Amino acid sequence: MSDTVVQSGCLFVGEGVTVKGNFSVPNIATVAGILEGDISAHQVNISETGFIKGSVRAEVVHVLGELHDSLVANKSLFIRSTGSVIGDVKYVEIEIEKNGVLQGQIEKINRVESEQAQPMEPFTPTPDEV
Amino acid sequence: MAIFSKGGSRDKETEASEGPESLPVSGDQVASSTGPQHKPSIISEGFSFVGEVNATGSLSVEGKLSGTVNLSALNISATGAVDGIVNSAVINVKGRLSGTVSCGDLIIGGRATVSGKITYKKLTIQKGGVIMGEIKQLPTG
Repeated sequence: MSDTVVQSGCLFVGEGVTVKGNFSVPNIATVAGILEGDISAHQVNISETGFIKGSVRAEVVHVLGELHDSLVANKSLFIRSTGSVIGDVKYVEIEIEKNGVLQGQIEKINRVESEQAQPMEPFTPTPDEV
Repeated sequence: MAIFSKGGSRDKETEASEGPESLPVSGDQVASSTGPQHKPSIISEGFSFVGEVNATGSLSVEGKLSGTVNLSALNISATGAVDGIVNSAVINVKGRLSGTVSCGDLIIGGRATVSGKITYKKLTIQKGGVIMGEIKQLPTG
């Protein structure tokens, strides 16, 4: 995936991979496999083959796959046409493409500065590497 | 050759200009209406209606409507508000919708608010749209 070039602070769960546990990701978590447990990240991307069961907390969440149980999107939640989110959902801003699925107890919240993982400093490649 | 004064020429020119100039304007409007059953009913701005609405056609709400609503298409404009038990095949919301809502296609615009117990088959929410409450998807088909 081209958007995961910056690898510091990132988590990538490839297709066919199953992971269980609690994850704290300072930058972007991309899930193409199966993740069970709680995850807190700056951004969570769930690919078309991705599946998360557990509670997700993030600033920005992109869903092309499936997300079950609970979700708090402290900034934006995007559900694409192949995506589905089922469970308790709290969001600040939402966008759903046609055929995207949203089911459960839905609540709009005001943005709160919480204790969750802060985003890392933007990654700047040093010029001498070029 | 006669040169018309401003006053004299006005009568003749307005009559002549009405024909060709008005044609392209009316052409656009005609294209969308195919029959009398497609004419939407309108609850206009400032109009408040309480009660039961049953129709096979479509309804545009620019004012307020509360009660039981059974329709095939419901359009709620930015100034419109609908509250109650709503059943409609298609609901397009730009204003406010609340209550117990059951529909096929639900389209929520960027400045719209939808709350309550919502059942849908297909859902679209534009960025900035708000949805709150108990949401359920029915299997499509």
